[in-house]
Amino acid sequence: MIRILSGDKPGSRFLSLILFGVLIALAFAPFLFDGTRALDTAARICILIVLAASFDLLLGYAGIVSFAHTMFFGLGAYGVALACLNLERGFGALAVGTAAGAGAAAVLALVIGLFSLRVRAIFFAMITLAVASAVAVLVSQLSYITGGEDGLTYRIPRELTAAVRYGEVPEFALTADWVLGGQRITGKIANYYLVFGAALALLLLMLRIVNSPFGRVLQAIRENDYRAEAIGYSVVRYRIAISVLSAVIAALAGSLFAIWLRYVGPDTTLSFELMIDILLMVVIGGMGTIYGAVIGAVLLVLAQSFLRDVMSSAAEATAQLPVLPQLLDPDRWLLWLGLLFVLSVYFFPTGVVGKLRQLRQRRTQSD
Amino acid sequence: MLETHDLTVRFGGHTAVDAVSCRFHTGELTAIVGPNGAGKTTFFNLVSGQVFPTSGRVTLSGADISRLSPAARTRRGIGRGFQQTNLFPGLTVTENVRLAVQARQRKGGRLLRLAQSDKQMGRETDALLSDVRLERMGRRLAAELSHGEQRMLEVALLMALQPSVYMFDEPTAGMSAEEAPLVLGLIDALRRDASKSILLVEHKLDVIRSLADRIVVLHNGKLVAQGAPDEVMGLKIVQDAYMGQDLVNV
Ligand SMILES: Nc1ncnc2c1ncn2[C@@H]1O[C@H](COP(=O)(O)OP(=O)(O)OP(=O)(O)O)[C@@H](O)[C@H]1O
Ligand SMILES: [Mg+2]
Repeated sequence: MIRILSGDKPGSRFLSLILFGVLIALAFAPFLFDGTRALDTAARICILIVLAASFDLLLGYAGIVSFAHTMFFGLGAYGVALACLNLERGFGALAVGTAAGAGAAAVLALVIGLFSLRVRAIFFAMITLAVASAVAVLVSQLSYITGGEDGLTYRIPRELTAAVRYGEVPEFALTADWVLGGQRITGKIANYYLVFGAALALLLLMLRIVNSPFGRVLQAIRENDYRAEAIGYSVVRYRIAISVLSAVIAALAGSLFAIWLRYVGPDTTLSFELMIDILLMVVIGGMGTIYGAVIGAVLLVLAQSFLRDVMSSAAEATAQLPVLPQLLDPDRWLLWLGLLFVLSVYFFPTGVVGKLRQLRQRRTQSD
Repeated sequence: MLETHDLTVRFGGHTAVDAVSCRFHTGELTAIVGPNGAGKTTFFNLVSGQVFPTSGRVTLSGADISRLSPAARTRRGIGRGFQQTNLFPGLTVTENVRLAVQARQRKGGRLLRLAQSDKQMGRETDALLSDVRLERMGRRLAAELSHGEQRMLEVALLMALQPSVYMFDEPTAGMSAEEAPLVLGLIDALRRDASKSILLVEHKLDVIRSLADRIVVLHNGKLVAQGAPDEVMGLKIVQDAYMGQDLVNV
């Protein structure tokens, strides 16, 4: 078990429990929760975990700020979309699109890195911002290829759609009126497990990378690039390598997203809001921990999906009181999210994971 | 052999190192002395690559290395220790040293192995830690060490590189009376290895007297004297410098 996690234990019992809970919930999501919305949320969480963790490789481990992460995500997504539109329907098209998206992301990240990481890390941030904006404009302008603002819809292999039925889960009666199972296993569920399995594999791969000799060098560079260079590590090469690696993983996440949604558009893959969301996930969860990306993605997606619901019921409950109902109006959910963010950064500057590890350390020291 | 040829660097109008030409033979320990601000650390920066020269060259075994990055020079065998503590503060003591061992073994590109699974590297790291008496501090963060311990760790990082040229910049400054002899003992042991050259910036005269094969005196960025310790120590300019007196017209 520890070996699968690359020896990187969560570092807090409570955190392990939460992570285990998330794993179980996602692994059995099609059978635990009813409705397509829940399954969609679960798939989104899987994909955002990978996307946020790949951003953490850059931000948390290498100390590099990039604004182009969603661009690489978009490359993977558009790769699959274009392949599905232009090639024969089937898994071949998915594979070609995924490989093309990842390849394009690698080349672009390499070029950006070669041009800007040689200078200074802050320059990289500005270049990525410029390139990402240019790509977003390009995507909306080249509408005959990319579908412009409307995006693209396309067909994926039938085996991954709800049109195909593989059978049913055997029913399993716990008590007379508490029956588990009985759901239809459709291609949609197969699709979900493709997303879940790939996301899990990518997450474990990232855990391995950050605990490898290479990952240690990244941490050394983040801590003190001057000294890392002085003991013989070519800092620029390591920075370029991790930015390429992180771009490729982001593109793979994008491909999964495209396979899941059967739609890509600039809003869902390239938008600046998504970039901010990823940043929030990594910071709230805890930078430089990989597990933080898991916590951050789950928290943010749940907040975005359910904060409005919670707020509208809270607004109703407080309808008699002054001011409060207006403040709790569901339309103000962004305000509350922003407030939650500020509070969480103020109280947990090292993120949820950092805080939990700290608590546990304090406890072991006082023992 | 490490050589500098008319090595010069100017910061604005100030010439911090001024046309220094000097040879450092293998099997020799050269002490570099001079008052504060003489340019000793800047000279080190020029040799190890942190600062690029305005003019002049650095050669190692005849090859010009003055345009190489610090990392490339380190890989060629120039090992540099720092006067100001310069560690990886948020990593553990063991990780600090292991990173240096790993750099020497060129294993930093390994992506899919576990950092701590390399047994041989682990043993070497432990040995280095016990050389500087930090064996019990392995799991502490470098930032949590006392100043003297951080200086010891600094030395361990340099030792881990096993370079052909060792550059120590006031290694014992800030160390306790127990720590300093330990480090000087390590340097003395290196001195017996005929394949290494050692550059040592040091202020304490007794240390220089007992360790140095040769002394180079820098003053205002210029090389003002060099030679065997007995000769150089007798020079008025050196005595003046070490009496803390102002040097006039050199
Ligand atoms: N990067 C820099 N920019 C501007 N001036 C510099 C720079 N580095 C060093 N100097 C100047 O060069 C001169 C030499 O400094 P240096 O640190 O090399 O002296 P030093 O001999 O090592 O002194 P000390 O014994 O105090 O360590 C000083 O006047 C210093 O202010
Ligand atoms: Mg100095």
